[in-house]
This record gives sequence, C-alpha cells and structure tokens, in this order.
Amino acid sequence: MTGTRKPQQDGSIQAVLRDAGLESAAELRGALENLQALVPDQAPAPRADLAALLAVGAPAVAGAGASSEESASSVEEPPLPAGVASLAAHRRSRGNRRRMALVGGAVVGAMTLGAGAVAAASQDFRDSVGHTVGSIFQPAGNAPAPAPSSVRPSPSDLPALPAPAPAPAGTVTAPTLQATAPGAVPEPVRPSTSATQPGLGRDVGRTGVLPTPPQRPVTPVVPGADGRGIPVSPLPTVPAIPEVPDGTGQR
Amino acid sequence: MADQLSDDELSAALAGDPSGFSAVYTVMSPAVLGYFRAKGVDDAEALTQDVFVDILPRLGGVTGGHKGLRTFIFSVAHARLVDHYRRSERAPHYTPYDPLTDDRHTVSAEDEALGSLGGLTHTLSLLNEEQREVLVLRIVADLAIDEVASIMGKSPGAIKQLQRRGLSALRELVTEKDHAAS
Repeated sequence: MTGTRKPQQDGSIQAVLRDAGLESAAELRGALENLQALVPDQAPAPRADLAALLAVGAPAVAGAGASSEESASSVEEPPLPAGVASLAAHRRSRGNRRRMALVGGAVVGAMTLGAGAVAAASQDFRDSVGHTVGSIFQPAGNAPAPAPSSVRPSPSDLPALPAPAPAPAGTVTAPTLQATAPGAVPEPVRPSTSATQPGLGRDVGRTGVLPTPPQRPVTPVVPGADGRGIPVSPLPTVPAIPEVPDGTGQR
Repeated sequence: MADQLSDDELSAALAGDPSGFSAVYTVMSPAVLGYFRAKGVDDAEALTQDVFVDILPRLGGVTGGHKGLRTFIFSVAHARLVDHYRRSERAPHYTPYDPLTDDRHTVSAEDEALGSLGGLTHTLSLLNEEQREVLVLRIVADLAIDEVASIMGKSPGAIKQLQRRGLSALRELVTEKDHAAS
C-alpha cells in the first residue's frame, strides 16, 4: 500500500523534509509515508444525500451539448431516491419564504403607520393620550395640581345649583347672578356687601376661578337654604373679601 | 481514479455548474478522508461526506484554480473538525475501557495487517495539536506553506516553525518506538 505512492506525492514529503533540514532522516521519511498512506486510493461511496447532489451533475455531463440552464431544468425532473430532497428546490423555496417574509413585514409596517396616523388625527385620542400622559407624570411631583383642573369643569356644571337657590331668595340678586353666571360662587356674598358693583363681580368671577372651588361647598349650601341672615358671617371668612378690595383698587 | 481535475471539470465546478461536482468529489474526497483519519476521527467517512455536502453547492464563489479549490475544501474540513471536537467535548463522557483490567487478550487483526500503520495515529496524537495539524495538512492534504497558513490563520513563518518542531518531535517518537520494538 505504501509502496504504490506516486513520485509526485513523494515529492511533497521530500519538500517537507527539505524545509526542515531533515532530508537524511530515513525513519522520519517512513513515518511520513505511512501518514500519506492514510489517503485511500478510492473515493468513499457517497451516502444518499451526497449521491443526490452528485447525481444532479451526472446527467448534465452526459448531455454536455445542451446549455447549462436546460440541463439544470431537465435535471430537476428525474425522480430522486426516496427520502432525498433536491437542493435546488430547497433553495428556491427558501427564496420564496424570504420574499414572503419581506412582503409580510412591509404590510404590517404600513398598517401600523396608517393606524398611527388615524389615531393621531382624531381629537379624542389626542385628548385621552394627553390626559393619561399628564396623569402618569404629574401625581409624583404635585398631586394637588390635577385636582383643581378636574374641578374646573365642575363650576360650569354647578351654577345650576346656586342659580335656583338665590332666585327665590330675592329679586335684587337676580341680575347679578345672571351677569356673573360663570363665576357663580361669589354672588351670594356680594348682594349683602355691595349690590351696586356688578362689574366687580364679573372681574372677581373671572380672576377668582381658583379660589372659588373651596367656597362652593360652604356658601351655596348654607345661604341657599336660609337666605340673607347667614351671608353676613361668610363675608369676613371667605376669600371673597380680599378680592373685593382688589376690584376697587383696579377701578 | 483521476489524480487531477481536468481544466474543463475545474472550470465547470468553479462556475457552480453541477456537472463538475462528481469529478471534484472523486478527486478530492480521498485526501479529505485521509485528513480526518490522520486526525483520529471516529467516523471519518461521515465527516468527509458532510464536508462535500457543504461545499459542493458553494463552489461557485471559489477563486484561484486548483490551489484555491484545495485550500477552500480543506479550510471547510478544518472548520468541520473543530466543530466535531467541540461537539464531542459537549457529548456525555463515557467511562474509558481499561485494557489492563481485562485479561481477555487477543492481537488485533487490523494492527497485524497494517503493521506499523496502526500505531501511527497514536504517535501523531502525542504531538502538539498545532504541529500535528501542520504536518497532516502538508503531507496528507498536500498543501503548500502559504495555504496551510491561511487555513490555520497564522503567518507562513509560524507554520514553518511548527512544521520543523513537529518533524523533530515525530522523529524522536519514531526512533524511541523503534528502540522499544528492537
């Protein structure tokens, strides 16, 4: 087996030994020849999948006259051994799969963009998002801040309550109430102090939006029930007093 | 057995044309098989066929003619061997069979038939891993210093050094063995 090596292959051993300066080492040459003898003379018999791969080329060799594309297309037709898949078909299906994934990704991306645009265009969505974002970020810093903002719509709803209450009480207060409808709270106070200052009442109503919420639970309920006897006492206690001097100072 | 690829077969294979696959397998697979055998792989034929299943569809991108093809095939074989060793490291470790505790002795028929060949892989396994790789790639795969350097990711000077040391170590091992035998 070792004796049948070709001179060309012996040349490679010779070259290796010459590189190392060991040309005279006969025992080393024998070992290297044994090492080279590990290369068999025959190619090992290919197993099924490799045989299929090699068989793809075989018909093309037979029909060498045909163009490579024709031979490739005709090669895919002949039946392969059972349990063996053609690599060409596999490659094609993989390409299709990749293309399908690309198209799917593009469709999903476009739908996401469209849905996002529609959502951003609608007023309700923006309000709700702004509200939720505000409610997420504000409670940690200043908890009372959102409270007045949420109370603010309530005064516009509440005036319905004080409005019927003073109306039966007296005709004098009625015009002031109608004039200062948005700032309904300070009105039960004003008829007792100065009924001749409706303009002040308007200013107070606009500027005093924030102080009003605390007054509302106190004043409308009490004077609404008993009438004019009680409003005298709320006057000094309620913040409406500092507001009145401000109004006079402006005038 | 075709010793060399014809130019037509080579150009067909390097163009990715399947008609060259069979010739490439016939010419190159014995060297790859010998490479795996020299490295002491259990199932060298299966690994050889894995290599060719891997490389044959990829021949289209290979450049450099005969040398380039050979370098490409053995670089894939080298990578496969590294994978093989890693996988076998992760595999469950079996308790080794200790022949000294077994008194049922008989001479191996294969060792008798192959003479000193049976002990060669054992002798090689006593070498440094890199020295052995260089010698096997140079002798069995019949690659030049530059090609071995590119496969192992080292400089040609380092490969020459490894080859010289490997040959010296192999010479010592062989002479020791001869003295022990005589």
